[in-house]
Amino acid sequence: MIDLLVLITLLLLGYFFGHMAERRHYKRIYRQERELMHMPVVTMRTLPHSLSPQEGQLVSGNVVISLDFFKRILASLRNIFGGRVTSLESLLDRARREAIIRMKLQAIKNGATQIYNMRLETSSIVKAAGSVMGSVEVLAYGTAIVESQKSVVPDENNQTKPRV
Amino acid sequence: MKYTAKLPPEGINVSKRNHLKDFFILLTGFIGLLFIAVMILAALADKLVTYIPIDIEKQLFQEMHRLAPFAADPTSERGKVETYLKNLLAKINKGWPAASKKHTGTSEKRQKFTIAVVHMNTPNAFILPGGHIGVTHGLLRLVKSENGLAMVLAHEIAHQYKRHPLRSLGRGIVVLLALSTFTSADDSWVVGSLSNSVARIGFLKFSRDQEREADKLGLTLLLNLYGHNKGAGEFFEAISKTKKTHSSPSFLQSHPAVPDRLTFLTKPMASDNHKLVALPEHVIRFGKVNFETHKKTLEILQR
Repeated sequence: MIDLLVLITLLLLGYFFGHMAERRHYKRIYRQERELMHMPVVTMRTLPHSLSPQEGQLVSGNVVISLDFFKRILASLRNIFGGRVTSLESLLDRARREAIIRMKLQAIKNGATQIYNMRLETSSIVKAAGSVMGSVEVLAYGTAIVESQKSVVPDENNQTKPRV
Repeated sequence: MKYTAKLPPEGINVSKRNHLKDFFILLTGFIGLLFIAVMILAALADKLVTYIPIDIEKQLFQEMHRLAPFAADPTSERGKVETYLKNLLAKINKGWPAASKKHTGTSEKRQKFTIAVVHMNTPNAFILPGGHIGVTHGLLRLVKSENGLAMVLAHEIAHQYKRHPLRSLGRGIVVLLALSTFTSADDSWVVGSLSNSVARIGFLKFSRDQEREADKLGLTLLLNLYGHNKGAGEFFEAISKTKKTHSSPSFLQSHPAVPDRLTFLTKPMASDNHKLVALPEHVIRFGKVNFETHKKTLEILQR
């Protein structure tokens, strides 16, 4: 009985806090994506001929997000019956977008204007740690291009300060 | 190539689903299927385990009486009480062939039992596989007549004749083994703890049925011995006075509700002319000893 009560409490806590965290995170993602929209991020491996870069750098952004208890249980119930694990889709979506945002912020800090050859890597921390509670890590990386001198000059008004 | 600043379209990578709804559908499905599986397995085990011959059962569990050991000295206070209990038990047991004939149509062979006092304040009695009965100190304090005590003993031996201790054990082993192979495939303890809870609730249903059966059979044994059922409800009357009424629902109880059992056991079969048999003086005296606060008395009794 105690077992069940603990379980129900954890589920409720997980649901409410997880839900709240997700909503707040998405709000932030939407805002930052709009702020950083001006910077192109593409998966092309070669630069266009018109571009004569002054400098290229490796930029990366990564993020680790943990599952809440509710999502975890929902996923493990899903494991029994099969089907799309929709509760984890939003988790991965948030992680990917957050990683790209962080990569862009790093590029802007370095004075770059665009990113080429962007790649995403996902790893599950749960497997490495062998723990029960799962979290996911997403790493976004690419080549940031710093263009010729005139465009490099940071335009303070048009720039987003990296979030701390 | 031209770059146009654009926000990614929403709602493609993330399905709009009501997770709470999903959760409840999956949960009820899981619990439902699990419950059905547990009940089928338990019922199968319950049937199959009775094919173990009684001799084998006695052999397998002959050491079980160590869980309820007798007094070392049969002439000690406790030893005398145990001798009294043994004789009372033998009297009740004598009526088994007749009682079984009444219930199943065939008169079954008698089994052998052992009985011992257990130093516990909670008024209770139990039977272990192999026919080893334990009667708690608290029960001796609670009952007022031999009839009341005999009903409790008759209930316990009825359990054994219906092979309830063995059947419970068999069910437990089969179901928990099956569940553990299933839950070990899933790494989360939640599935494990959920399935254990479901199994426990399933077992409780079996347990309540067994108690009802034992009450029924025990009452027949009591009627065989005394010819009436006066005093049969003594234990439950006393319990319902001392204990608070159950707060949890009946499906979470291992025994049927006390009032229901009381009504069953005391339905008028005895007239006022029937006399209760008094408990012997030394049993009453022994029951009154508070062994927890009188460690020394206990030591004397244990000798």
